Amino acid sequence: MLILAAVTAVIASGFLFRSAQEAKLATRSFYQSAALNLAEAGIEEALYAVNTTSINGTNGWTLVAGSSTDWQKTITSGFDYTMATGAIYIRADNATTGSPAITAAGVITIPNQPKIVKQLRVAGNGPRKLFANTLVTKGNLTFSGSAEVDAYDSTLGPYNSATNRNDRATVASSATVQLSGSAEIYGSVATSGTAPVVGGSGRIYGATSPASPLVDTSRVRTDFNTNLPDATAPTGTTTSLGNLNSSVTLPRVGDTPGANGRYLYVASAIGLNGNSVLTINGPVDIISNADVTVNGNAGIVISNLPAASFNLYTRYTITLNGSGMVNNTQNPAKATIWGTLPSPGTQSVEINGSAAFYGTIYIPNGNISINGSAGVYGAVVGKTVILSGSSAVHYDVSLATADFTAGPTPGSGATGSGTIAVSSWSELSTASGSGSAFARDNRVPFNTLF
Amino acid sequence: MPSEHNATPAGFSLVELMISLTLIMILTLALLTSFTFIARGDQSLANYGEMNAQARKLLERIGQDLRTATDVTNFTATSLTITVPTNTAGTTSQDVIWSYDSVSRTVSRHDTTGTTQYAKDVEIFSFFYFNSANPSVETTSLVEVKQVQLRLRMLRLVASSITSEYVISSQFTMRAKSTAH
Repeated sequence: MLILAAVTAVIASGFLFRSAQEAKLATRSFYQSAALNLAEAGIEEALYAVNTTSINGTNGWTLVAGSSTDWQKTITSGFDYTMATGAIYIRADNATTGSPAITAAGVITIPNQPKIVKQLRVAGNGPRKLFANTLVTKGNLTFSGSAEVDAYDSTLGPYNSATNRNDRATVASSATVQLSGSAEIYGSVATSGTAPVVGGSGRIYGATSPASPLVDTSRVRTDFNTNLPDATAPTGTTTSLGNLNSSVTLPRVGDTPGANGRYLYVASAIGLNGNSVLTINGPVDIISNADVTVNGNAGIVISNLPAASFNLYTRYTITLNGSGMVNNTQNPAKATIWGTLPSPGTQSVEINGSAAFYGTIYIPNGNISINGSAGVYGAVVGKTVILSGSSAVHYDVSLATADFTAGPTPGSGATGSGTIAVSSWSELSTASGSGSAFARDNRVPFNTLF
Repeated sequence: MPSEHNATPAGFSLVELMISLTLIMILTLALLTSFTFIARGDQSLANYGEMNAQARKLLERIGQDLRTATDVTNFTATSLTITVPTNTAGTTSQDVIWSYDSVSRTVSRHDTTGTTQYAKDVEIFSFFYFNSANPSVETTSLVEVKQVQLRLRMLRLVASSITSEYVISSQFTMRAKSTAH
């Protein structure tokens, strides 16, 4: 009996020990999640600082010894978990360039136990891409008649419905997308909660979609949400053009470019009629302080000279009839119309030109109507967009990765800086120095952790 | 004349003996019962510990995969194929498949290096998929999948009785999966 009692006692003590171990493991498992949250908070802290150009000593950042572009920050207070304490270690490499690499570690310290550390790395790849999609609106997107949306790749040559056409066009609305008549989207559609309303013989499809049904549901998503920042006109020394209502070629002899190499003009209005032509032969930006109107045989012509590129900024009504805007480079990234009316205002835009428009349109507070039969080759961002008649938008997929550094990027704040596009998110979980692609970073300030 | 007075008899009376034996039997029975209970409890706890350990490793690994995944290429209730980068820049990647085999009752991870079993004796297993706009309603659209949850029930046998553990994960957000097409 004594032996039996002894055995029972041993088993009972083992039971208690196992219970204690299980409780300890459960606690550590819980704090693993807390450490991950801290690491993500560190990433957010660095991204905010990079995006707002506030990565400096005033905000607790210090330069890594020997570097002029790599910064570090450690936050050790404010994370009290009763049974443990937390800390965040951050390092932002190339923080002042357009492509930073941010590493953050979340650390949980439990008394008498090893530290719990989660380490993450996020890489940026230039500013957020403005034209990653074909058509993007905050409001409704409406297609009627035989309006058409598809895509092509300008690096392979000009658009060709037989040899250079693909289904990578993306139409996205924070409201609804409506198709009627025989309008079709050869690509994908994204809305905010409501499925696209498709009537008549309207169609949403891709290269591998069946002929029926007309809407390929695998190309539709309903969880789209976007925040379109207002566009801002550039600042700096300007040259006045007065009321631009006659033919002129820019830049003119004697005009002086700004520090960025671009010629910045201000027009009190732009009204081109008859045979008046505004010819762009260099890197030209024009701010119009009243309506922009093109009628008749008049037009804005961007020549195919290598230096020619054009940005038009206005917060007023834009009407492009007649020849509209002709971009002889056929590179949509070289001609952009920026609507600068801030939210919640609304500016009106009509594209009715008889010539094809190779360009991009960023008017986040613009009600845009595209009626011209010649089509838009590029991408469009607006408040609402209506495509009617036989109009078409052919998306150049090379715009998805294009950075608009020539013209000012619509800013995220007063600084005018663009937000960084995050290109990768990874967890560093293997031993530092192991040679693994995901080895933990043990450089400063992580050198005390691993 | 010799005395007829007997010495005090050694041993216990029959009554004493019976009382003692009864007490010993009761104590032995109590000890045996305690022993059995504690032994089964200990084994049960060991099983829970093992199941917890498997669940923790499973959730840690699948969570890591999902957070870094850049795309979902196939999904069912018991299988999920995701594209996972093989370097921190995301320039190279591999397909990783998480699947449940209802015959062998195992949950495994498959990648280019092979197959690793993460949970065994799994009676019930299911993935649940959600988009970024509404994490309370499941999505059936492949392109929309942004969050993934898994639920499973593991079983272990202890002395002819079964111990089981339900595991319901949080909704893992696929941080690196673009919501653009």
